[in-house]
Amino acid sequence: MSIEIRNVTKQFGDTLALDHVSLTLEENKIYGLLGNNGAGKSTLLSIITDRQKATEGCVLVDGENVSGNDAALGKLFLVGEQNLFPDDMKVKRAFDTAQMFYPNFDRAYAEATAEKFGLNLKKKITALSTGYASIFRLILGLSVNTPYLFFDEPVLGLDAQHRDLFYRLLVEKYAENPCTIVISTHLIAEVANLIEHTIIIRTGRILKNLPTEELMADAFTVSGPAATVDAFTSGRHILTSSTLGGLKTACVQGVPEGELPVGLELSKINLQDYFISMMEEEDQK
Amino acid sequence: MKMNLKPVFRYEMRDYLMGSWPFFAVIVAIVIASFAGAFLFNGGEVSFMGYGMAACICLFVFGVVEPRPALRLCAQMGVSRRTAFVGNLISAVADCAILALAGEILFTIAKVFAGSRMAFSDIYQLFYQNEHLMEQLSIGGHVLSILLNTACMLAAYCLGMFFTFLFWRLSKVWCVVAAVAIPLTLNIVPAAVYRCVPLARAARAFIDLLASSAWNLMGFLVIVAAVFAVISYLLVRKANIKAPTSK
Repeated sequence: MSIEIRNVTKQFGDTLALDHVSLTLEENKIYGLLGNNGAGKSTLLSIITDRQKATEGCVLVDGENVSGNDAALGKLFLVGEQNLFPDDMKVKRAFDTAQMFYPNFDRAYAEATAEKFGLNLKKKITALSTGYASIFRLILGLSVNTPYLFFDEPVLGLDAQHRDLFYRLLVEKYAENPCTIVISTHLIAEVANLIEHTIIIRTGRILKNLPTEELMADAFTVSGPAATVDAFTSGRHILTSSTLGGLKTACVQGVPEGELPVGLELSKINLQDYFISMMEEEDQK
Repeated sequence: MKMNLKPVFRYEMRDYLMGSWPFFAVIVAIVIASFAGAFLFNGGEVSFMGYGMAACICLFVFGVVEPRPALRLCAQMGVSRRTAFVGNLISAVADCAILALAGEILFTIAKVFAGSRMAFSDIYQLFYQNEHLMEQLSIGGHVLSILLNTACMLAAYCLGMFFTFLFWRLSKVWCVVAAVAIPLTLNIVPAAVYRCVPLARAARAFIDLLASSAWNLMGFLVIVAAVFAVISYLLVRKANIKAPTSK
């Protein structure tokens, strides 16, 4: 049970959105798909769910090619940024429709969750505010009970309270009914504790594809007097560094070795800092 | 690969029927108004000949407005373009048949009540029973009328669908080119055919062939529908499915 992305390339005119991307999404794991704007995250998710066709390569869901395959597509649900529902459709009717298409759609759960978020079922989807439009799509995603669930910028326009509620519901849902979840987001700090496996994508290429713990264990932050930091990090792979007055902070790739000089402070790097450091390093290339 | 047609058909059929009943209600209202004109106000003979054509226009509009949202919804609901397209087309065929049947029943009943004071005729009577417009059709005549109306509506639907997908896939520049080229072609081609004697003869022979039997016209309309349906599918089979709005 897995999704295999084999050598997928997507070209839009002169722009190469995805460049020979190969990945495997294993069952019952939460993945974080991270990348800057225009990195190719949404394009990749659209190709996985067959909303866009790859220029080259293919996507296999449990061994079956997803292209034009209802059995494979029925196992996937993408909570995207866009509304693909008809203009005149109301939330309630969208739930009816989801129930028609997805046999495991949990109607009672959807309605209960809508109540928790304060979503009016009688409203037209296009009349919802940006935040509530996101909430509507999140509720659908949480209720369809497909083996593979994709969230593309899921908390777009949501306030802090609703974001927190969504993350809690997602964890609850995952605990009750494990499935493969892929979250593509710019709010890395908020999902850092959720994601088990991190995929970092940049200009259509996969930069990192590792379990989050392994990724975090492979970098650290050291801070202290600039001269001491420079001496300690000499010969090491520095991802980024910043200096403020006489104090310097450096993000270093690798595992800290040897004795830590007096005056230096060592800390574990968090996912967001690691991501920023990596992007800055890439910018300098 | 097995197609998940059932939910698509159920969803689409509901949508088409929701769109068709107001049209049919308006037709019923026109028939009632015709009765009122003929009987209550002693207005003499009244004729109503537009049901088939009106239904064709209605189906053309359905063809323009329905397939794109259906394709988007199916993409959201884990259904392929092919299944969405086929499901949509099957629903449209069913809707055409239902409208043709409902129209035939309505006007048969209306004829019985109206007697000789009102004339109700449709595409079949106008083309193939022109000298017997006031007469009741035989069972075979009713069946032919239903089939002919269904074929007309289906051709109109597929034409509408072709236009909506064509303008969806074309870039802005090509949209303008197509918008200018289509009416120009529709004007120039018949005029050119009329002026070119061999072509005019061939066209005349073809029209005579269609006029000789309702089956010929039906066959031609089904071929037109099939051609536009195939082109429409080729237009969408690799289309990027995107939302029309940002929300």
